[in-house]
Amino acid sequence: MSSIYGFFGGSHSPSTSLIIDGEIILCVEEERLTRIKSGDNYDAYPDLSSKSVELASNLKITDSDHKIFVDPVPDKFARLLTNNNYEKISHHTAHCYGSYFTSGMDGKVLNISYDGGGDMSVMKVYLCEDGKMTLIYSYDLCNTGSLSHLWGFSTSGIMGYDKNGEGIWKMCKDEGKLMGMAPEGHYDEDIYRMLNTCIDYKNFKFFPSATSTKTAFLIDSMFKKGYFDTQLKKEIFSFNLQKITEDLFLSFMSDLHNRFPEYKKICLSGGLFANVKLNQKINELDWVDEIYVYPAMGDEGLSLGACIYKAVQLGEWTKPKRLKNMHLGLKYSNESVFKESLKYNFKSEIYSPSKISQDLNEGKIIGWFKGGFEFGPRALGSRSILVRPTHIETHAILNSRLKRHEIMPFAPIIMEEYFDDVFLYSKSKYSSEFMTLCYPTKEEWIDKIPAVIQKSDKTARPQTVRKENLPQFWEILNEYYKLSGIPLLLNTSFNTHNEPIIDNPSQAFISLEKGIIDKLVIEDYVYSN
Amino acid sequence: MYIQINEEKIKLDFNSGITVSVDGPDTSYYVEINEFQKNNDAPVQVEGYNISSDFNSRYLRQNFTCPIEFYFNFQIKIYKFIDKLGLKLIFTHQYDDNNKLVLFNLDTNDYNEALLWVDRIKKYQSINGCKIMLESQYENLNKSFLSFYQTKNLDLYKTYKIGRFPKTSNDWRTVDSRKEGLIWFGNWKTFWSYQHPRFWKNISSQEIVDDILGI
Repeated sequence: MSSIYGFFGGSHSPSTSLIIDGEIILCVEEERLTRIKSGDNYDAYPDLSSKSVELASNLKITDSDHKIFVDPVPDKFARLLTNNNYEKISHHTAHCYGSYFTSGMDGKVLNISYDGGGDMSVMKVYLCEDGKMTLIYSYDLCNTGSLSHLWGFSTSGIMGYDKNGEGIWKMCKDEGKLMGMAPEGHYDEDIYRMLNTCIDYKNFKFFPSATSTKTAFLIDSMFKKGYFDTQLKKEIFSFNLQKITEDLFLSFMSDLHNRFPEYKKICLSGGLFANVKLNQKINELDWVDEIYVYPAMGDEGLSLGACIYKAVQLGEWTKPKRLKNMHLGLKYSNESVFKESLKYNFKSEIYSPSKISQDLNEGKIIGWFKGGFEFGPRALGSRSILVRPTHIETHAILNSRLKRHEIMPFAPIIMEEYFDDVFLYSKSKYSSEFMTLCYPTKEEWIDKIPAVIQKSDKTARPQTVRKENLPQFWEILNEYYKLSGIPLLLNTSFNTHNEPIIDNPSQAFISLEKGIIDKLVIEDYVYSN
Repeated sequence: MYIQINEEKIKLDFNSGITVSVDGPDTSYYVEINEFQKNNDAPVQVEGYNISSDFNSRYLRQNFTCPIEFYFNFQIKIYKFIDKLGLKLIFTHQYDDNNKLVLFNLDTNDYNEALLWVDRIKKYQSINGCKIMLESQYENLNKSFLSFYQTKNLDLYKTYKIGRFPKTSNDWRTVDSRKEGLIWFGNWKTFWSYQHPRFWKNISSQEIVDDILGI
């Protein structure tokens, strides 16, 4: 049995992962430690993350059996880190191994990765069965259009540019804001047509090539013409951007289905599938039995994909299995929490789920810090902020305290047992454990939980909580349910706007001190002012 | 060479890499070059970006330039923005030197090598049909082509420099950015220098000229 380190870095979203004897030990994104969002820190290396994983696992990188870097590889850094003893694997291979082998899917599976480019390609498609993956399509960056580029360059242009010519919004960072605006807009034939000149799809081919630079030109020209002058105009643009993305990708899915009709389970990875609305549409296709979106779908997930690839090669990971949760990052003991707390004059008490649920029911904003931090873009019950979902006024309070943009919706966490009561389409619940797709809300629940419903299209992006996977998270939901009759809570990431989700107790205590949260649940204790 | 398309006056120059400029009513245009590769039906994008005559624009480049000097089968496309329609293709130019004047500049002190290179240039001419103008230190070779005596309409379509560039293997360290000794040109391909697909030191004299001329 073997120890395998996986790394990705040198562009955006660097990370380090470690698998020993076929078990995931640690996965750490660099941005959690640098405290700079990866979209603001291009070309960073997995420097702090590699050191922290070494320290936490007590396994030196040079003593491990295998060191795998994902393309594109920062060669000089890789040589230094590994004493020039490392292997490379291709970008989309890492995406697809990470996705399929954590999907838990048996039988025939379509495995698709799609992003803005890695190892000269934007998309790969594999047919998978019984732990075997067969590549059927690979699309080169230089002769294929890319929906990810359409989003990236729209994001960086829509808010205008600073004095250095940099977009106010950043690609690989702010696409979610653009997507969040889409439901507020409406179809506009002219905007759709203009976007269509940068990207189209027909017969297994996205075209024309160079969507990136063409989109940059289009958005710049539209900006000068006043297409983004008002919030409403931006929303209309976003709607059409989302619509063309769904239309073209679903055409591709339809072609895939016609060619491989027996494949009804879908694995998805790559930055495009951070788009939860697109994922929703794929999930709602009649012929699809289940989709699974790799929880660390962006390039941050590549380091784990690399480890899994090697473990599969070595026969130490033979079939797709399910992840219990994504709490794969660094964790902190009660002792270290206590030591940090001594710097402040907070009141402390032993954590009691029933007391905290009362606080939640009264409208308190609770910081939630338990176990290892999450791997991937979502706060999934390790570094979260919890609030009751029943009052829309919550938005204004949270947006003010977190300095969040008002267009960004909030998402619910829900006990698995009540999922079908609240949401339509009960497919793909495993993927919903990682908050990777939206579901329409049942009519009777819309007014009960307004704080977690997208106000225009009445969808939500729930995280389904299973008792056996996240017992403490499930417990607090259950206590709140006993008080309120509502089986869900609002869950947002534990960070202020434009900073990565927090890592350590110190950052959590600072949030409490600044009044961003009313109470802090941290490991076995609760702190308050 | 200048080409007028409706309101746009387009200038193309292939004598030191590829340069494209557009003079027209719009302040910005999008220019791209694509390569048609053997065994690949779809054109492959080499490079594309916006050019702008607006000094307040964040796009600082007023001309489109691509420094690659060796032969490849490329096509230039120019787009403009049309309100409510999006990007509109207004101009396409396929590289084709058939019946056009092409200057071949030989950088060698070896007469026998010059003879060999002239032989390969004639081979290139037989494939592509260009008119040859030769520039070398050997007058008799230069005069062997009729275009030597041409003094009017010296509108060169293309210049090929044939030699060993940069001169030493270390020169590149100061002139371009590289990875593992090669230029990584966008998403297109890697090559040794803008004049040579492969490092001249590792190949024969004939391979040098054949590489540059794509024969």
